[in-house]
Amino acid sequence: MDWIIRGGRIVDGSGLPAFEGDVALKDGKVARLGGRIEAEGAQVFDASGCIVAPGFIDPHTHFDVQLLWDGQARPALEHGVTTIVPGNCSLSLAPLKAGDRQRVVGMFQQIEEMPDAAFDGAFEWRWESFDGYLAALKESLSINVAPLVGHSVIRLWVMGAAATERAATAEELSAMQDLLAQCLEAGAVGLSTSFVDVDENLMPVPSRYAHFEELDALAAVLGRYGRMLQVVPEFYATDITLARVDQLAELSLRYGIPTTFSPLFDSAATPDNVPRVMARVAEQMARGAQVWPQVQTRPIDISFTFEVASLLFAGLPKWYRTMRMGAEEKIAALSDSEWVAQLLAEAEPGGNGARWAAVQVRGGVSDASLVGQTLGALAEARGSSPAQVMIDLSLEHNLQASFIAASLGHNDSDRVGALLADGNVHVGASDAGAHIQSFATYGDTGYLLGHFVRDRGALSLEAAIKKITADTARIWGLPGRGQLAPGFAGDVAIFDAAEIDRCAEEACFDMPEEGMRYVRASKGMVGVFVNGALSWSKASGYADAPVGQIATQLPGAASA
Amino acid sequence: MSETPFIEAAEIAPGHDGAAELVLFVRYPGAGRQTVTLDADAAEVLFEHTQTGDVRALHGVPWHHLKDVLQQRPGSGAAGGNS
Repeated sequence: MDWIIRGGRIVDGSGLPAFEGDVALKDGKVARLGGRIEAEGAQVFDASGCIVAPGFIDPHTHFDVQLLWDGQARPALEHGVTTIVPGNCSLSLAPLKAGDRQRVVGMFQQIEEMPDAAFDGAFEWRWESFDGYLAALKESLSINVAPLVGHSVIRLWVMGAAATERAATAEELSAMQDLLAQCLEAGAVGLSTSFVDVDENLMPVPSRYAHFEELDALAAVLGRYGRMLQVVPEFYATDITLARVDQLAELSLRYGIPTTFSPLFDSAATPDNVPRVMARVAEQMARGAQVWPQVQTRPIDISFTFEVASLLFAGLPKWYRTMRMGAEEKIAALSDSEWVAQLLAEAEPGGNGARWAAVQVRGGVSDASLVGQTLGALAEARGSSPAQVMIDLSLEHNLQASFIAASLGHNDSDRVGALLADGNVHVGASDAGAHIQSFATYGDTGYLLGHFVRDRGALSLEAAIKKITADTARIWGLPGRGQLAPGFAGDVAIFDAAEIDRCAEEACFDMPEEGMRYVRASKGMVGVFVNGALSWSKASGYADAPVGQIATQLPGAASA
Repeated sequence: MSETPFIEAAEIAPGHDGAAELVLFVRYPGAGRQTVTLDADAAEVLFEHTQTGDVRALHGVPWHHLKDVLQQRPGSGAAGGNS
């Protein structure tokens, strides 16, 4: 044996009740589990008082670029995530001709919000084919990857500039089918497409120019391999989403493929959206189709500055009018005591600033101690009102002060908890690695296990872990992963169930050339094994062992 | 009952990408109802189109204003931008 994970409470991913015992890892896999295991020479990881679970699988990420200089996909790994699916939403970094790179960089930057330096100099761009990209990844991979191939880049490869002009010809369709097959042979877990995304010029990404016949032809190729079709539907319109559910169901039944769509989130503004979509999903699942809605665990926060007119103020005409002014005019208005008095009267009727009291300072301020404080607390300290403090901070920082109104959507724990527990819901949609300068997309599993399991009891621990391990592996066809059982990969998350959670969001500067992103550290996680190697621990932090594997293939022995 | 579709209600809601969105409830002749969500840019166009900056002033606005906005949006047509 290489490792004995000693004395934990095992939740094996099957959904069966937890049990006490050791877990033994050898040659990258689970060798034995349960009871006390003795093995001479094996290293011991003390898991007493902790839950020992399969490593978590995140099915919706955009780590495509980050993985090239950070093979651990930080901070995903320290949250217990041992397998990730990049390449979502029609975008992947392969197959991609050298001449098309800048086009795709623009699309990625629109989604990921990564600085130019992330694409220019942070790695050596020396592949065009999908297997070439995987070879580049594998050089420093410390987390398992099940990569999707993007419909947009397949289109771009075959059609060039015409990919954003017209439907494909029969010859082009055939070439796309061949190219997709090559990607699947190389290890792609499926195809992603989008009916929503836009590039940096706010123009539709190439996949949106495809006619249904094109999607049908590509789904036929997926059917030959039994691989996944991931879709971003028009989630902003329930009726169109319902039509997409029906369309995905037909493709699933016709070609015997799993399909998944995201995002699906609950909002007080559209309370019938989720029930209607889930009812249609249930109908189609009952027919035998696989149409998995991905639902995120975390609530939705709204971030804003005074620099750009946020719709958050659209219900306050005077404020919205002010926000829509040019910068100089806006600063002048916010410096005008009469104007400000009218703003305050509108925002805090009768002097009641409760609406703004919970808004937090997020960044863009010279005094770091202000970050994380609520406007209510600052108002009390300054003898002011929350809205006045918001104005003052914005003026003091040339409109760059940023604020966050937390938990405004997907925030009804009863409704979201019931949704997450639904047997037809695929827990995912973290978007990890995307929107990095807008909000932190990490720690959704900690939030699931802390808020919804421990604090709310919406799911049992066993059920929740099954959803983010064995269920995900089954839905995506990842062999030998998602369970703690002999012969399965030695992917293990060890955590304190009383502590598991996500930490507060914080800005960090670990992107290439000290680019900023928002992250969340883990809480309660004590150790993470990837393919039998200790890859992160609370005591020692990250290990650099390049033990990650392509998860569409059977687990192999760890190389380190 | 109006002979043309109109915006029956409008609300500000959180988008999944961390930005606020404008949710419009469109009522059709015959009592059909549909939800359309606009991002900040599209909403800006709608506000200009209807010469208002107040979400409440959108109530009762005929559908053709919204249709024009959607047709001016080559990218997403409605909310979205990015998944």
